[in-house]
Amino acid sequence: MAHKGGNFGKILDIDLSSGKVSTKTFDEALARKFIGGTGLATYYLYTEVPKGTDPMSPANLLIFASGPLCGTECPGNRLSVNFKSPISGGLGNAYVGGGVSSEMKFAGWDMVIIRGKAPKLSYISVHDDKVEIRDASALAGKDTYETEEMIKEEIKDPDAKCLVIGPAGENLVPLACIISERFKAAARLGSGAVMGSKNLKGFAVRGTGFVPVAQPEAFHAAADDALAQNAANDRAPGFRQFGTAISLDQNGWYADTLATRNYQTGYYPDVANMGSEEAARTFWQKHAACPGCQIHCMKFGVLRGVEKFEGLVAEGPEYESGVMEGSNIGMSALEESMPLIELCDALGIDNVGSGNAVSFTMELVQRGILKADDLDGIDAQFGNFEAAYKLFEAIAYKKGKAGALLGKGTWAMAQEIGGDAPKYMCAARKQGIAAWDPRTSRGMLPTYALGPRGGVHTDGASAKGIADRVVSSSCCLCYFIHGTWGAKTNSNIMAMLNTLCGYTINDAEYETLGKRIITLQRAYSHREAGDNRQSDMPFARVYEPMPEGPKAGAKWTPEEVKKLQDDYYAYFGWDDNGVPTEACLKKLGLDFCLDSIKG
Amino acid sequence: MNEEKEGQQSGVSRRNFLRGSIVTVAAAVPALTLMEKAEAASRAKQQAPASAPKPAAAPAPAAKPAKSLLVFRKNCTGCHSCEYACSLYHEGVVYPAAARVHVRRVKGIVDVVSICWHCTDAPCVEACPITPKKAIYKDKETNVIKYLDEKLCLGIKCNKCVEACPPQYLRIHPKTGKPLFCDLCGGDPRCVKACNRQARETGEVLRCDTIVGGVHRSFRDVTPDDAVEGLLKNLYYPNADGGRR
Repeated sequence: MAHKGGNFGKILDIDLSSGKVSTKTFDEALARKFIGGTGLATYYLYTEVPKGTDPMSPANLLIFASGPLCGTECPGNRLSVNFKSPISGGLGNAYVGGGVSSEMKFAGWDMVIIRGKAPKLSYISVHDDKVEIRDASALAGKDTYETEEMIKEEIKDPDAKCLVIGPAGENLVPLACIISERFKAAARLGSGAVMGSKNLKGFAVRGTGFVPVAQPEAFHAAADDALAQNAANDRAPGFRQFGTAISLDQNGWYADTLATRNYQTGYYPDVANMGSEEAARTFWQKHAACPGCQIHCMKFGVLRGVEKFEGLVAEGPEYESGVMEGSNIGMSALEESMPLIELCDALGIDNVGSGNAVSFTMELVQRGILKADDLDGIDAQFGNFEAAYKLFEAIAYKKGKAGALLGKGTWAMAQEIGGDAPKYMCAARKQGIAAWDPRTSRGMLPTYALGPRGGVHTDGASAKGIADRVVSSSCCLCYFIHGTWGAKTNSNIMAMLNTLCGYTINDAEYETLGKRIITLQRAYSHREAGDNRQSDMPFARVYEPMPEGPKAGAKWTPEEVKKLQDDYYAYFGWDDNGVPTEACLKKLGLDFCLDSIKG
Repeated sequence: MNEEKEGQQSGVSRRNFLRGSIVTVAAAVPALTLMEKAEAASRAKQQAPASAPKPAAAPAPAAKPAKSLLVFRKNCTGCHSCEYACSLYHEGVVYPAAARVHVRRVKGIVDVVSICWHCTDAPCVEACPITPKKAIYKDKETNVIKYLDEKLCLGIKCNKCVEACPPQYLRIHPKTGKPLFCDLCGGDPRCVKACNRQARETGEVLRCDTIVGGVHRSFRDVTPDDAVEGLLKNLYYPNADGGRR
């Protein structure tokens, strides 16, 4: 079946080992079954990466997946990056905003699959259907900003969109991430390490085409309606004015959920010195948006009057980066958090994961489990800016004992140190969690512990929320735009998807889609990492009461967690141990996943 | 291809640079942070509530004044909505490579809008080598460049108008190979509409208005490279090259 619109049905398949470039196709039936983006990429990950593959080996795939709604006037585009994760050993999946996903569609590709390992450091340049694998030895060791600028200069295309890794990715640090447009990251689960393991320094894409539309008039009407809802929403002005940083001030004061000093508390009045209002007063210079989006949530700023970092240009603070490089490691001013955020972006390390590893280290030092000797003499106390800066650098450059220890990520650190350390670890499904304290932000526990990836804050707040979110992620929409659509999110996506691709998806099929993709992801992570009820257990701290603030005393009980898990497994039709059943797989058309549950 | 041309022509003279700073400074005083700008914008709104989008579609008097586009680059968020709206109107799909307005993010931190300034002297028309009649002409009534006959245009093989455009605005259609001229969508530019909807919190970026005597050269002759230099100095002082520190 030919595609009526939205998808081209074309996948760019690049084997770096042999340098062979080929085109794969997929038909409309498969596209409708998995939508595209994350859903379709997980399908290829499941079927093409053999069970038990080493994530850092050439046999692993790195899939850049754009979704059907990217490259159209639908707002909020993201790129889905898929791989087997070196952090969790299971599903690796990260998202990055910016123009790269729509640019891929303009170039005529729905997806790019990268396999093998280049004989030497290389980068890929895609201009419509012209694909080149080029030598990147001149880029070795360069930070992400320089890499991107040099690639654009070399291919003589200032409009190209790039995905690059920094020194951390080249050093194969599991916490490394992929950076796009200088400040945007596909950060979680070790995307940069996988890209580094393929000897791939960068990926540049430029397209001069367009995405075909099945029913142009109806689609433009639907997209226009979605944009109008966004414009009229009363939450939108706050998002536009302050970006995600608006939550810094809210959460530190009255929501009591601002992760502070490795999640020891959620109450942190000092956030006033590094929150959104302070940033708007003294730091931000410019709003910036991703293509087609009305919510310009990015803010660029410049530090002035700070001796050591005079003229530092950085993006943020966002909520996650402002916490993980701010309150969670005890920083209390923009002059301290911004250089750390910029450092993570420039060296290409996961803002959240590395922030979590550093805060975990600091708590271990506080508890006397780690000594300065274990960290090359770095005095890792909460609030010690110099020490934090050195730790982040050590992670990216794999420097000394500290770098080797922290770079693995929070969960692996806790296993290595042993003893009492796992008690203070804040990680779910082997990955350090993000910046919301799940004791007071109750909806964060499902996404951390049960969501398809684990430890991630954006996967949805309930079983249905998680299923709905993954469909949106498979369309490669940014979930920030949902906040202004509210209850109309699903119907908006359906209206746009149906008119764009010529589908007839209704509420029931939408629900099945979510269940199918989540179950596929679960089958994958069960097959690779053995995910089950035991691994879905949250970390110890959620059972301790919140010590202070307006919501003091908030905590989870084991019964509540068990009920959450029961409800979640029941919604998807999995067995009591959290593993998809044969009947469930067959019902969802996932017969090819049956091997995952047969030992 | 066109981008290479722009790169080659980027010899920035001091005069050009000064021009660059004029346009960008015109939007706001350098030291203002976003908060102060927002306050100023809300003050302006209170004072002049009628400054809402111009009633462009309203029936105009017989001798309607010719319009031009104007850009306040400093407020641009780089959302590409203008490109999307432009290509939707002219090509029927979102097709930024064939849009008549361009946005480019440079160094990851500044967004540069390229528009047709609808100049009075029209160097592009001047440069057109086709004889006896030029392939393009300037329509006095609507102020836009139009094709006399698109078949006469040699497109990318000739490229003379593209090279002559002082702000290096003109680009070539990726399929037809002919230059893309802004026609102001017949007097109601879709890019301005889309921009007004998107960039409400940041202040105006695009405007369609009458400029008595046409746009001044100091605005028009700013190339994208000049504009980048001006914006970087203006927004990120003292880090005037916008690099890492």
